[in-house]
Amino acid sequence: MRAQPGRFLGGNDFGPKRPFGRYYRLARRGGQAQPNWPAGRENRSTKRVLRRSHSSQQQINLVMLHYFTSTYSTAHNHGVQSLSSWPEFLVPSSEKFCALVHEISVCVQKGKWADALDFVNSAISEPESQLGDSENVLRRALLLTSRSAILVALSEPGSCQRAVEDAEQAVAFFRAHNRGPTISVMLVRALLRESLARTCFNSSASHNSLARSLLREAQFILAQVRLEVREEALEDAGAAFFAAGGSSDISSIDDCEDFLRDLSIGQESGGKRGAVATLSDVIDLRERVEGALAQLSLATFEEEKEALEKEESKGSEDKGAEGSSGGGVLFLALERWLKGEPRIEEAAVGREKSDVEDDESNRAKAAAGEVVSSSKVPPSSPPSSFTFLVGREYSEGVRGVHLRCDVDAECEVLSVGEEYILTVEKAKQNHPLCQRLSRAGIDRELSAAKHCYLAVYILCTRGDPASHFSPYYALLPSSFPSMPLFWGPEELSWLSGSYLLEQVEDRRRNIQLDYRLITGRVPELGGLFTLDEFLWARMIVASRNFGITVDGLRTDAMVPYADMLNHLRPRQTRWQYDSSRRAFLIVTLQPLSAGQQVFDSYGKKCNSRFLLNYGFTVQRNADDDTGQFHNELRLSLTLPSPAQDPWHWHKAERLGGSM
Amino acid sequence: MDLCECGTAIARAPRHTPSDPPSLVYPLHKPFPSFFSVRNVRISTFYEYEGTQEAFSFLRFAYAKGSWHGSTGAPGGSGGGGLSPISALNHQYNTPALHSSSDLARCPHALDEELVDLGLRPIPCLSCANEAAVLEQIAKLCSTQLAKYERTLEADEEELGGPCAPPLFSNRHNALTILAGEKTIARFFVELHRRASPLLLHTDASVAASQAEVFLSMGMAALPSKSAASLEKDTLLYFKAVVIPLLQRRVELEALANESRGGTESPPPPPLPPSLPQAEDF
Repeated sequence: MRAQPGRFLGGNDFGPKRPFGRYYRLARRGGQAQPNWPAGRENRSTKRVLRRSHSSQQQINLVMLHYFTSTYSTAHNHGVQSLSSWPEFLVPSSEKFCALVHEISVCVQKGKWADALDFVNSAISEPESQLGDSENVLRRALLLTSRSAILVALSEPGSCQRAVEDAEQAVAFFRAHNRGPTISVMLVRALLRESLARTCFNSSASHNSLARSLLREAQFILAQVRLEVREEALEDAGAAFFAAGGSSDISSIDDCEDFLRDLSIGQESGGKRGAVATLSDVIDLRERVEGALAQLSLATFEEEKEALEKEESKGSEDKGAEGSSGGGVLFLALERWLKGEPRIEEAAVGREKSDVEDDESNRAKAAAGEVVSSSKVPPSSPPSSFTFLVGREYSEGVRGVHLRCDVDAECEVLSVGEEYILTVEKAKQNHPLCQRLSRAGIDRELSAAKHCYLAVYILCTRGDPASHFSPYYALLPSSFPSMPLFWGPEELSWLSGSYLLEQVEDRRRNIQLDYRLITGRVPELGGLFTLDEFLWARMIVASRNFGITVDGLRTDAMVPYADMLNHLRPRQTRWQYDSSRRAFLIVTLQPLSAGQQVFDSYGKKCNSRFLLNYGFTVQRNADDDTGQFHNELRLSLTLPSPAQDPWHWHKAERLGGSM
Repeated sequence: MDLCECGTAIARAPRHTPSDPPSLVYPLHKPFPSFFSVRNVRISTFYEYEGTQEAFSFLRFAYAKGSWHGSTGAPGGSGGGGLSPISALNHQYNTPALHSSSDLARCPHALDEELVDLGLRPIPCLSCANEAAVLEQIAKLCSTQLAKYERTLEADEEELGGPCAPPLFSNRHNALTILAGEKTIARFFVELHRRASPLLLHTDASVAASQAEVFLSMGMAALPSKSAASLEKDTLLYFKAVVIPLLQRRVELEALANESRGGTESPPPPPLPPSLPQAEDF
C-alpha cells in the first residue's frame, strides 16, 4: 500500500507496514533493489531456477521460497496464504493427506483460523508428516511453519510463543535435512519473526521488547539471506559470464543482474550471444567474479552485522531508534530536535526546566549580550515532519536519506519549520559579533558575504551546547577529505593542466582574504576561530546551503535534514520554502519505494563544480532526457589584434561590461 | 542610417554608430576597452548550452569580416557608397541583412547594444568563412589545452576502467574523471573543426551541403538513442543548427548572384554591382 501525499499510512504505531521491505526486495532479486514490486508478482529469478531444477527436494524448497516471497506483499500472513499452493508439491501423498491440505487451504481462504489449526494438527499426525523420510521431514517442517503462521493469525494469548516454537522446530528440520540452499528457511524465519513482532506489538504493550527483539533477529537473518542470495546470483552470473564470452568486468551485484539479463536475451534470440569458451576461461572468470563479489558481500555483511550489534549494545528503548539504524544517536538527536521534543541528554537525566526558568535564563543571557537560544520550540513555530524518511550513515561522514515506506508522486516527504532553518538574516541578527560584522559594512568587499555570515554564525555558536542548532551542528561532517581545497600537493598534482587547479587556488585565496577582512574589522572573531576553521565552515555552507526566498527576500539558508539528501539527476524531488506554512518542503516528483534513497538534484553542473563545492564527481555527467552533457572546459577567448582586424577597438567597445 | 544596407538591425539606431574610419590606435579620450577584448567562457559539447553559445557568439563577432554597414569593401563605412546588390536583395525580400556580404551587418544586435549577455542573446552563425574561422580558433585553443595535460585521454580512461582502477569516489578517481571530462570536450572541438570546416570552405557549396545532409541523416539513423546524450549526437546537432543552414544559405546566395549576373530575371531595384562577393566571403 502506498502512502498518500502528506499522509502516513503505517501499519501501526510501530512504524510502516514493511519495515524491512528493502531487505525482502533485495533477497528476492538477488541483491538488486527494484522499486514497486507488484503484489503477487512472481519472482523471475526463482522461476528461472525452478525451470532448471531437477531435485525434488530443491524444487520443494524453491517453490516454498517462491510462494512465501511472491505473496508477501498481499498477505498479512504470507505463510498461511501459501498453503493454497501446496497440492503442487504434495502429489505423491495419500488422498487423505491431500484432502487435509485442501481443507486447510479452504479454511485459510475463508479466514477460519481455528478450523485450519485443527486440520493442520491432523495433517501433522498423518504418516506423511512423520519423521523418517527426507521428504516427510520437509512436509512436517512446512506444516509446522504453516501452523505457526495460523497461530499468529489467531492472535490468542500464548499463541505467539507457540508460533515461534513451531517455526524454530521447522527451521531445525529444514537445517537438519536440507542439503540445498538455506535461503528459503532463512526467509521463513525472518518473515515469521516480522509477523510475530507485529502481532506482539499489536496485542499488548508488554510485548514491545519481544517485538523489537524479533525484528532485530529478522533483520539480521535477512542480512544473511541477502548474502546467500548473492551467492546464488554468483552462480548465475558465472553462467551468464560464460554465455557473454566474458567481455565485461563484474564488480558488483548489479553487474551480475546485467549478465543474467544478457543471458536471457541471448537465449531468447537464438543463442546469438553465446560464445564458446574453454574450461580454463570459465574457471578464470568464475574466480574473478567470486573474488569481487565475495569482497562486496563480506564488506556489506560485516557492516550490517556491526550496525546491528551496535544497536543491540546501545539497548535504546526509544521507538524512534529503530528507524535510525546505522545513523546512530546523532540522527536520533536531530530528529527529536526537529520534532520539538526534549533533547536526549535532557530526557535521560530527567532534567526539565520550567518555562519560568528558561525565561529567566534567557533574560540573563540577553543582559550579558549572549545569544538567546532555547531547545524548546515556540508554540507558534510550524512543526517539522519527516515521517517517511530515515537518515543513514554508510561510513564516516557519508550519509544519505532513505524512505521508510512507498510514496507516490507529489508526496511531501519533508518539511522543516522556519524555527530550524538558519538564514543569513538570522545569522546577522542572532549573535552580537555577527551584528557587529553586519554593521562594519564590508559586504561588498567579501567574496561571498552571505556565506561568510552563515559560516561566522556557525563558528560562533557551535561550541555552545545550549545553542538552538547544536543537534544540527553535531551531524555536520568534521572534515572534507574529498574536496580539492583540502587535498595535499600530491593529490593536487593529479589535476595538472586543469583549470580546476586555478579555481581551487582562487577559492582558497578568496577565503583567506575574507578571513583577514572579517577578523580585521571584528578582532574578537579572530580569537574564536582560526583560518582553517573558517575554511571548514565556508565549505560547510558552500556544500549545504539552499537559496530560498523568505518574505520576498532572497537569502541563503542552512536547512537541517534537507541538506543530507545526496545528488542525483534527473530530479526525484523538488524543494521550496513555503511562506504560507513558514516551512521548507521537499516533495517527490515520482513514486518512490520503501528503502530507496531519496535524492535531490544539485543542478546541472560541471564535474569541476561538483568536486570543488561538494567533493564528488559524476561518472556520466549527462541528462539523457534532454541529451545534454554537463561537463565544461574553460577557454580564454580573445579578439584578433588591432593589426589583424581594423575593427578591433570598435568590437572591444561593444563587448564592454563583459567583465 | 541606411535601412537598405543593414535592414532592421541598423534601423534600431545604434548608440555608438562606428562611422569613423577605424584606426590601429585607439582614441585616448574614450575608455580603454582592451580589457573587454578577452572573455573567459566555459564550453560544453552541447551546442545549445549557454557557455557554448557565448563562446561561438564571441568568436563570430570577433572574426566577423566586412563593415558595420554591410559592404565588403574596406571598413569604416566608406566602402559601401551605394546600394550593393545584396543589400538590394535584402530590401526586396524584406530580410534583415541575411544576405549581406558583411558578417558584421548580419549580427542582429551588434550595432545597437553592448554584447554582454552573449550566452543569453547569442549571435547566430554569420557565414561559412566566419564559422570556419571560429571553429579553427576553438580547435586551436583546445589543442593548446590538450597539450597542457601530462597524460592522454586514453591513459586516463584505461586507469579508470582497468583492473587497478581507483575506488569509486576516491580522490584519484575524482581527479581522473575531471581530467577525462575536460579532454573529451577538447577532443570534441578539434574533431568538430576537422569535420565541419572542409565542408564550410568547400568551393562548391551545393556539393558540401548535400554531403553535410547525408552525414546528418546517416548519423541520426545510426544513433542508438535519439534522446540520450552522446558526442556523436552533439556533432550532428551542430551540423543541423549551423553547418547545413550556412551551406544552404550560401547555395541560395550563389544562385541569386548568378541570376543577377545573367540578368534574366525581373529587374532588381538596385543597379548591378561592380563586383560580386566571392564565395570565400560567405
